[in-house]
Amino acid sequence: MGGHLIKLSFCIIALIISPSFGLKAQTQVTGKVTSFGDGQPLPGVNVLIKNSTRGVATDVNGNYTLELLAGDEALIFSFVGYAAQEVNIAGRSVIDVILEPDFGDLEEIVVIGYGTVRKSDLTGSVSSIRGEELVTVPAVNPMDALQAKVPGVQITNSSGAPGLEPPVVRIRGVGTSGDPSPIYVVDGVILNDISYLNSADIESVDILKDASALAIYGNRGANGVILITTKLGTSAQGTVVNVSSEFSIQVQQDRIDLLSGREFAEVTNVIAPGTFNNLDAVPNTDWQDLIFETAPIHNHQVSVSGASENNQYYFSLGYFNQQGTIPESGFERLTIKVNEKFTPKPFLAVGTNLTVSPFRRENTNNRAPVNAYRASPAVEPFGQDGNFNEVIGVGNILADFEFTTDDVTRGIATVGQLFAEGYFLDGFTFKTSLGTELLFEENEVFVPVFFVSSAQQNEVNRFEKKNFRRTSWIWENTLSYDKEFGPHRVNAVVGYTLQEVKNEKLDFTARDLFREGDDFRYLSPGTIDPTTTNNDVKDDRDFFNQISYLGRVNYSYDDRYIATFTFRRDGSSKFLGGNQYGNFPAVAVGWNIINEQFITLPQVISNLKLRASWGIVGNDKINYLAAFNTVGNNFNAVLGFNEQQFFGQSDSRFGNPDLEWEEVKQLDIGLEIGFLDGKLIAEFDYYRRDTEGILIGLPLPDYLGNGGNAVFFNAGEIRNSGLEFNLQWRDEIGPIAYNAGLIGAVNDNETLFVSGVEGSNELLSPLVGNNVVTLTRAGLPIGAFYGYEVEGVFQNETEIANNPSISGAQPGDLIFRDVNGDGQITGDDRTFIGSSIPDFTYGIDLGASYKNFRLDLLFQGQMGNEIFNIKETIRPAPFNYEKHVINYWRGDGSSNSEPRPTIGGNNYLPSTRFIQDASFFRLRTVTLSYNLPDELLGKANFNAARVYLRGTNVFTITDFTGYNPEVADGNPLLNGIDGLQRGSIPVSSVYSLGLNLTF
Amino acid sequence: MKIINLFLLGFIFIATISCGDEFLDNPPQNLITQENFPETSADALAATNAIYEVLRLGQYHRGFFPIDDIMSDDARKGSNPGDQAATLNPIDQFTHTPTNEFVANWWETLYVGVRRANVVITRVADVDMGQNLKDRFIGEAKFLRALFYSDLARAYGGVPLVTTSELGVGLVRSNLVDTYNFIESDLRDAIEKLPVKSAYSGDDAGRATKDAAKALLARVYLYQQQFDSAAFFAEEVINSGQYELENTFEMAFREETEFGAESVFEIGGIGAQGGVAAGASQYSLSQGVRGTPNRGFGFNRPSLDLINSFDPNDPRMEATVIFLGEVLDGIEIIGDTGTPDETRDQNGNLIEIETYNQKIWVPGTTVFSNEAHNRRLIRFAEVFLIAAEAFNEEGNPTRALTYLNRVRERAREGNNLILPDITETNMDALRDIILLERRHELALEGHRFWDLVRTGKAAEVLGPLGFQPGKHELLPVPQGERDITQGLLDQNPGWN
Repeated sequence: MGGHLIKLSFCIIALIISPSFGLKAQTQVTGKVTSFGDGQPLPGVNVLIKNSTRGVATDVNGNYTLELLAGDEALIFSFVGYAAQEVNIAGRSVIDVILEPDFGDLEEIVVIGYGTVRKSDLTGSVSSIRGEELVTVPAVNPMDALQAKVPGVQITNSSGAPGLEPPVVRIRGVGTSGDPSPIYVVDGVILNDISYLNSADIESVDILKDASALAIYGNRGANGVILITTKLGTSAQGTVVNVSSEFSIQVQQDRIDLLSGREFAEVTNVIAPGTFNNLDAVPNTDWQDLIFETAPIHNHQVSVSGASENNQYYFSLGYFNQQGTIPESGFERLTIKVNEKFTPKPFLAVGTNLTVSPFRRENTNNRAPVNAYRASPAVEPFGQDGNFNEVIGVGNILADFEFTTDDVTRGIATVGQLFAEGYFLDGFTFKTSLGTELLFEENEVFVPVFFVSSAQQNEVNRFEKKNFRRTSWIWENTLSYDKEFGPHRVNAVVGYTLQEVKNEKLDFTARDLFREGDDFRYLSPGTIDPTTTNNDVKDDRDFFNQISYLGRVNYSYDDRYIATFTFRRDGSSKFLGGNQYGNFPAVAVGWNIINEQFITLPQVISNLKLRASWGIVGNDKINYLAAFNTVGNNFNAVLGFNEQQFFGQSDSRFGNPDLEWEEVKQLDIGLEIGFLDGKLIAEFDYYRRDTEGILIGLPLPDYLGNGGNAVFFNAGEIRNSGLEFNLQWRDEIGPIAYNAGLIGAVNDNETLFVSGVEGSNELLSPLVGNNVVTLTRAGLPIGAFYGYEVEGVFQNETEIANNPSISGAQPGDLIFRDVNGDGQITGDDRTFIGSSIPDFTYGIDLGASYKNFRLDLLFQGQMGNEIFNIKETIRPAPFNYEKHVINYWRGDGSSNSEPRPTIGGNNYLPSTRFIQDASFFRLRTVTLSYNLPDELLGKANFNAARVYLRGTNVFTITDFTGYNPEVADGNPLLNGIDGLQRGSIPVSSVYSLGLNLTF
Repeated sequence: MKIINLFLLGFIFIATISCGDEFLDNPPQNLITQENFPETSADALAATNAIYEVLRLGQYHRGFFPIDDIMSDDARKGSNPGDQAATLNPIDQFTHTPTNEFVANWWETLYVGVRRANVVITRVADVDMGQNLKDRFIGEAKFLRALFYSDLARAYGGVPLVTTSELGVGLVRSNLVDTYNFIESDLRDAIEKLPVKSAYSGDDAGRATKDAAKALLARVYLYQQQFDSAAFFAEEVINSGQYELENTFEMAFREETEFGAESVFEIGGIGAQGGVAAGASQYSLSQGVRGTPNRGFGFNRPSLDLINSFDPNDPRMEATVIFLGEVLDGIEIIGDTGTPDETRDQNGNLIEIETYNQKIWVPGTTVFSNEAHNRRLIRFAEVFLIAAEAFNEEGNPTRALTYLNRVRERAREGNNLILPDITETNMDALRDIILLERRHELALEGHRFWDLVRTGKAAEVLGPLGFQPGKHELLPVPQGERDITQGLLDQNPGWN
């Protein structure tokens, strides 16, 4: 009904403003304009009769009606961002048109920091993604949808725990040992995470990759910047109501191949004869089957957007609810979005972008998957009495779900800004904006009294309440100038910004609550014993402030020559003394060869542009406490006949007051080329990024009493160099419109220089236990795997006697290569055995539409990297084994690859035995969609309706034996080491059914 | 056009606002920096207290589990057969490697203690406070630093001697003689500065004393076979008038006698929920009865060899070992259902039975209540045995026997049918007797393995358990430490 009214009023407006009104009509032509690819109607498309001034704009449904005069030959359809199309009328009265997006469109506008620029004037490397592409994956975090879509951007979701961690995003390789994540600039507010944002509210994402584009973000630009613009109604649209609804099922299909109960008993009997007397009586528990469950995702939203003469608006309400594939986990989020821009005077606009997003997260035991991997299959979960059985070393996983997962986090994120723009003189704009990020989180955990075994029990109930509050503000002021004089075009901006980020925590732990029920979980004297000393309080705060000055000039001459100069000066409170301020310059040039008169290009080439840039950006993502030598508290002595604690404090961690930010010097050379009027477009970027002074947490010798804690130094230099490419082809074969795309990035990572604490030129990183697993040394990739090379298995004592061997080697043990040739195997024989950094990452995008149907496929892959399967090496207790262990060495000649079974020992030292190829090829998404025909729409009062079926992570081809060959850690010294060990939950396959209505 | 000027003025105004440098000030919140600590006498006290905290950490007690007893013939790994099988069975069987995490944890934690002691020793001198108290704090720190280094010296040999709390690398291992000289110098200074036990108020019970320093010094001399000095300092303690043996052996380990007459130095612990932060001592957690009652993990299991080595009816055996079915303080010991009551070898011979260390027993049925146990690090009985051994080696069997028999007399609890006085005066024979007496009196208190090593009997006694002479006398320097220091720290013999 509402749709009718809106439609009617729009038609009236369209009639009134139609320039053809009043002319005598001979015939009439009508039709509908839709978008290539998704088949969505395009409102606001200009439909002009060729060689006339008569024309109309399409209505909200993409429909138009034009009166024709005799002699009118053709219609021209044009719309920003789409290739204009000329269609001969040829006597027809209905002309439907599909407009193709024109990526080679020279007038396309690209969002860059603190401004926008025409694509033809762009000198930097910026990848733009339209909002529609973000809703193709059901995920909390919008970045998930960008996997395999942007060359040089690696997005890795190594945990499937709903809403717990954002994906790890790496742009152009691994250039820091700290937090590698980019910053997000959402409508001008600088953030570290966008999990609060609903993908459906995003209009566009622009990813800044080279120094020229990044320098405007100074000391925060080194990891890349992701600019996000949220939606706002446009004047062409009228009022649009959009409703979308999606239901998905997540399935964890993958299982790690482990020993059965009987096989486990057989192997255990080799290690400790007689442990299992009757192999036939050994139970067989598949713990993986017990912990994974199929779980739903609901994702729904409704939005209203539009514009009137001096007012543009967008309102939306979204609801997202994901249950985890592990019991007792889930994430629920409501997003409320209000965008508004009001232009009361020609020289003044004010507006707001605001998102309020309350959420609730159920936290399960994230170690359930690794515990299922480790748990003995020879133990049944329950005893005959129905009680939980003890599972040595890991505990009973089902008991964990029962007793230790009463853990809920509730919160609300509010991100928004208020801005004002003034337009004056000719081409000047002054903008001031005050943005804020407010995040409140409260985590409540209750652990009741329970007993499963000595190692899995809780003797006194415990209630934890943790509060987190982030209150940050950013005030930005820019003065920009945009002007054309004949062939000269100038676009300049200067600005001054201030930001404060403050994080506060307040945690309470109370023990021995009088009642266990939900209704008594309060920290008041009625529920806890105020006299007990067992209630802990922690109160903490950290903050940082930043002052910045920025400026940029973009100059273009005759659409041929372009130059950009950028400068930013940042002062950051994360650093001390003279290291607070830094300067970040960049320069870039571009040449639109296509516009040169003196070069005659073959007709087939429709666009050709060369660009190059160089500049410096910084990375300030360090923990500011890293600069300080801190004193720790609560090192209490217990003394006295009436024993009590006496307060103690002393030195805890060393810091480094000389810390500076990491500096990235980046060179980028880009080539953009279009063929056949944009049917084929190609873009290539060569880059060389040198990160100097990378912050590395250097492990100190333990004799310094730092308790195993690392101290940060600017201790290395890393080079990432590579080539990114993006090839897109689109065409039609008869009624079938199709497109094919290939994006890829070849990256080479090399350590140029590194220093350890002892002035050495290499860095060994200890990991779990006492084993060093990675080595960083000039010439190798950062965090290269380090260990022994396995050459086989000792078959007998004679072989041991005649070959170099490690102390204590027995027949059946692994043969390690004597790398230094000194005739014995020692720690000095460990060597480079692999790297977690892929040589090549790629995405393949295929799509085709026929009538109302459309099929899209996205494949994703990577090559040339390895995983250290650390979960197999850490065995403090007799954990279950991976399947290959059953082929163990049984005596001379039985196996030359699988050693004799042991619980731990030399066969479990880091070696090539645990290095696996992490290459993979995955069907990331496949979507089949159907646009309901107009006849049906009319009956149902909809303007457009689309239903679709989609599969995400449908299959993955890989040799890796774990759940997911994509493993990521913020720290590259740990990256590539299977995250299951550290408690990540595997990513699932997801199957979705969705509906999208517009009216 | 006014509006234009307003915009321009506005921008110029904003751009010239100087927030000043204070906007970028960012002192760490709620954290004192080392440069500003200690400033007051309260800080100096807190810094001194902080050294004692290290003694409550599980890792201080040999990486949570008593590595040294498990290496000896007195104890097996214990607990459930699977629990810590990969990390502790190698130590039990002498197949451990330089990457064993408990070997590393112990090294790391002892040096955390050294650093906290160095904070007091090097920085309290500048604090404006009374000289007496200042001396006492520095004396306590020196005693504790010596205690940590004495553990390092006997376990790893000569070690890097760190004497400041500053960040400085490039150290190498000192030789064993220099390491012991350093320890002796600390202890002699501590003896100068520390009060005797009775001079402390009741709330200070447990702090290092003059005689604790002398007793540790006597022990350190004994390890270096400087028997005259060992005898001298042991006798100083014996004659100090500060200590007596408890009436019964069992009583020396009970809660009632914490910080009591026999205790020369011990580690306080509170049996509260909340672990170390609530005052727990983790030493007893790892060894408590596993299962029912539920007192801990049951590591460091008394061996059959230890049980069988006692004289018949020696009350110390019953007071050292908890057997299944025993009733202690009205609580029946049922043990762990997942742990076999008996373990036999392939020939059917009984090699182990499920037992627990009774010396760490605290009456109760919960784990946390067991964490109240105070580990007696130096008992008066040990001082007697040091004196006995030292005088025997000095050729003075009469005085040796006097002290040895003081210990036996207490052990027999008035029952003259058992544990008769020793009268042997042959030095070699008496040496063996004293060693056996130490085994029975000090069982599971962390002495046995080092006793066998320093008396040269380790190969003979522990050989069948896997001990290799020339290698296993010392633990390896942790591989991670050698990797970080780029080989500046030499490895011990046999461990390369």
